[in-house]
This record gives sequence, C-alpha cells and structure tokens, in this order.
Amino acid sequence: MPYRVPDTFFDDMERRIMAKAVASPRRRRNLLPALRRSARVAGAVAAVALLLVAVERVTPEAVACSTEIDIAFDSLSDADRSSLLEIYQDDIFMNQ
Amino acid sequence: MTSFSDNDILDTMASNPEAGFRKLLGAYKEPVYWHIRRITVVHHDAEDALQETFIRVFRNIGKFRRDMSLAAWVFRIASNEALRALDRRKDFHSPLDGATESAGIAADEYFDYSDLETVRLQRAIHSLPPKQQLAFNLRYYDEFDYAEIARITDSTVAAAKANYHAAKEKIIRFMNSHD
Repeated sequence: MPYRVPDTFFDDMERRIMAKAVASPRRRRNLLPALRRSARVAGAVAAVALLLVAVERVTPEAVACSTEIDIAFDSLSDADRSSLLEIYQDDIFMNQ
Repeated sequence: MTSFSDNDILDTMASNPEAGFRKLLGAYKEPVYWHIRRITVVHHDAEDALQETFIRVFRNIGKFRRDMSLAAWVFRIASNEALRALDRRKDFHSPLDGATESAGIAADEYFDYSDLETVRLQRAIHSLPPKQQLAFNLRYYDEFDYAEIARITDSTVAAAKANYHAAKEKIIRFMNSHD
C-alpha cells in the first residue's frame, strides 16, 4: 500500500485513546452510583415518614373511640338501630 | 488477526475494563487504522476516525452481543466512522451508494507515490462506490468471510458477494485500461 504513518504513531495513538476513553466516562460513571444511592436513601426516608404519618392517624384514642361507638350501637334496640341506619345510610359525610 | 482471542479480551474487559481495553487496542488498532485509511486516504482523517472508533467501542462494549466476532463488530464501527469522515469531506468523495465517479487520491505527506502499481490499485478501488470498496477491502486486505462482511456492512451474504465480485471486475478493467 502507498500509505505511511508518522514514526511512533500507533503507540502515541494508543496512549491518547486510553486517556480519552478511560478518563471522561469514568467520572460520569462514578457519579451515577452515588446519585442512585442518594435516591434510594431519600426514597427509604420518605417511605418511613409516610408510615409514621399513617400510624399516627390510627391512634389508640381513635381506636378506643370507635370501640365505644360500637358498644353503644350494640346496646341500642333493633328499632333504634334501624332508624339510625335509615337516617344516616345516605349521609355523604358518614359514608365517605 | 489478533494476539488475544475475542473471549480473552471480553472477559478481561468485564473484570477490568482498562486492562481489557488495552488488550483490544493492542490487537485491533493497526488493522483498524489501515482499514479506515484505505477508505479516507488522508492520514489525519484516518487518525480522527480511528480515535472515534475506539472511544465508541469502549463506551458501547456492554452492548456487544456475541452473535458476531469482535473483529466484525469493531470493523463495523470503524467503517461507519470512516464513511462519516468521508462525508465530512464531500469535496473528496461521493456519498454511500452514490455515483461511480473516479475519485482522485488526495496527496498528503504520508502518501508514497513511488510504487506506481499500488497507487494505481488504490485509484481503482477509489473509483468504486463505497459499498463495493468496503466489500473489496474487507475481503482482499482483511480476509473476512462473506458472512462477516455482510454483518459489517449491514447487508446480506449475497449482497456482500455481489459487491466483492463487481468490485474485482471493475478493478481489473480499471487496471487494464490504465496500463
């Protein structure tokens, strides 16, 4: 072939390519796992916070309160129960 | 073509990307450079395309599926980069599947005009459309089989054979008519 290359071209080229290929994508790649880890930690913290809020809503007082209502409802006569159900069965605030 | 097997290079790249890539470069940088140079002719264009080829290889090695040889995959990327380099120098060459005009051989300081026969052969090759050039170079210089040429050029085995034989005929005619 009539083509030639400068002396030490291939060695120089290998050094340049290695430097370029290995350097730039590495930096980017090192950031990604760190970002992923941070996102996972943030997700876990958010999940725990949501769980705490949900648990707080169902407090023992609320449970006790609803138990008292059940007991009171059980102690009503059949006629009273039917009348209560009839009055409140279509109440949108009671049934939401 | 390579001093390391494909598997050796790929396994090393999986465990130690830098060491694996060094093996890959050691095995492929020269044949890939000459492949690109035969297409671009000009050394500096070949140099840029070579660098771009191996950067792409390094960044995309995870996408390589072992349904073709590593050599074919690297040469496929190299061929695309070489054609892209040609495309950037539209004054020099027709685009892929373009006219079969006879292109001149661009002179640079890394071109040896002393062997007239080899210069004439390069002129003959450059008178071909790029797909025929590719098929001819990959078979004649790099000794790929037709199945691999088809993978490299994204065509069929039949098309690779047809391109190679058409190229050979045209080159013979060119050489005979330019005695």
